[in-house]
Amino acid sequence: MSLFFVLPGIVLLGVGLALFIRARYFLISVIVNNGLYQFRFRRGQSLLEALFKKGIYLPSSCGGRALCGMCKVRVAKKALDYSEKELRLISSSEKEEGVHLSCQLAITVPLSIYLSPSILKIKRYKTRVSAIKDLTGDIKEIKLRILGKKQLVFKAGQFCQLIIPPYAENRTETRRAYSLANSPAKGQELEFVVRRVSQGVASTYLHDRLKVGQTLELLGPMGDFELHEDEEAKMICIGGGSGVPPLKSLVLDMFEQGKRKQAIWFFFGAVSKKDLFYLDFFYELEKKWPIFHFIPALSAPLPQDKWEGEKGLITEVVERYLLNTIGRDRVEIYLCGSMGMINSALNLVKRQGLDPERVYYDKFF
Amino acid sequence: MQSRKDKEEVFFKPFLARDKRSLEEIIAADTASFKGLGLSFEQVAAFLKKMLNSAVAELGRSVIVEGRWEVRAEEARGTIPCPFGDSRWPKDLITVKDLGKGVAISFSSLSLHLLAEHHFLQGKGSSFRLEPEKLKAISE
Repeated sequence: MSLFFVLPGIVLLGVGLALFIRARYFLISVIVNNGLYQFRFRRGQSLLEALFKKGIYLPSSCGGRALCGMCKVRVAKKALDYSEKELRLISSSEKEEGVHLSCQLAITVPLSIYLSPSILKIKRYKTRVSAIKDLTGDIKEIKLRILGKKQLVFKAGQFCQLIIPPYAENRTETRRAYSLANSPAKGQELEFVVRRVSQGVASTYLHDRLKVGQTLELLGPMGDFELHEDEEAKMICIGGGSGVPPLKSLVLDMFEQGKRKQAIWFFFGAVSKKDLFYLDFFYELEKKWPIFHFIPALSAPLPQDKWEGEKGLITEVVERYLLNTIGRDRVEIYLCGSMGMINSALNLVKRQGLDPERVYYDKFF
Repeated sequence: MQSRKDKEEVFFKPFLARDKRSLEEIIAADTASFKGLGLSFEQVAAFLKKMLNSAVAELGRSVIVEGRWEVRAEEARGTIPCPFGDSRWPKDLITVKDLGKGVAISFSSLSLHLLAEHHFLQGKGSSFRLEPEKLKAISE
């Protein structure tokens, strides 16, 4: 009879002891922003992964391999070692401040970390596909409506990571960054422009499998490509292909806010007419907004295009306008497109002696 | 949670495609083919680099290089990590056509890096696989 009472007691004591040992030796405390959040994480897991599971979504696009440098956190404890891989992406001043790549930081000692407010604003949203439209042969516009009454609060120029579920031979979730093309005023119905990339896991899914009515999750908002507040400067936007959407969001936001006073020149570079899109939108905006000038340019128009607009590489066209029409004083330049286009535009900035501090582009991974 | 080995398998899978051989077997077989054809990885990488630079400068427009090769680069925004974990490369696709021989190849900045630094030409069935025979035909 006494065993009937003693046995549960022993079991309870054992469980309690096991929980104590687990908490004492296997769970490690991580404090975020001086106690705004306090977590106890399993020893050894990466900080990036552990925070992700708790709904703190540090941007990352390399699968935790210390290649993108997006998942930086400041750690109060400066004595932590740096791996060789980390040091490739951490500057000496960041090292001084105790900045680490969270993907490389295995939780082995209690940590106190600092995250910027913009990181803490990144949330996971469930959306429903409300429309899919072909913009060109290899570019689609995808509209996603956030479920429930939530809204995405973002700044024009920012991006989200769309979460692609496992499919076919891809056994894990994939996250890829796509810029928002709509104005921040519409935070519930979001527009993305997706270019098909050969063998691309995300773009293949979004082009070939995604259907209207389906749900899709996303993380956002992310990125620091945004409008700078010199309203007296002339603004030049240079975009091509899937680089056009964030610039569209920027100009739409400026138009709605009615803040800008000086001219805005929007250059859209493409190879031939079939690669241009959103033309009706931009021509309409040009009619409604006298300071806005839209210049599409083709580098190799086809005979059937019967193109009478600007011809040449987009950077050559911008250079002509800089010298003959816009002028080089108090100009700020916003770039969005492939790395080739950005490098070519940066060469133009150098060639024309423009202020590189007034050139803005997204470090888009 | 995924183990390190699982993660590595995920990173390499798209590059191995349907090839049943291991990474090491593919590299060994292609290195032997290069040797047999009298090719060097450095020489082929230099050729591809020349084609890539000529194409990328034209921002999507086709260009004829040295009157022999027609090249074109398609670029998307963003970068792609090397599966060996040492670097990131632009998402691009370079097509090169030898106008005289009619031979054509496609490659990316990443496939050039894989060839130059890791001697990895990717598995059979990968759209970015670089066949040694084709590389010889187009570059010599």
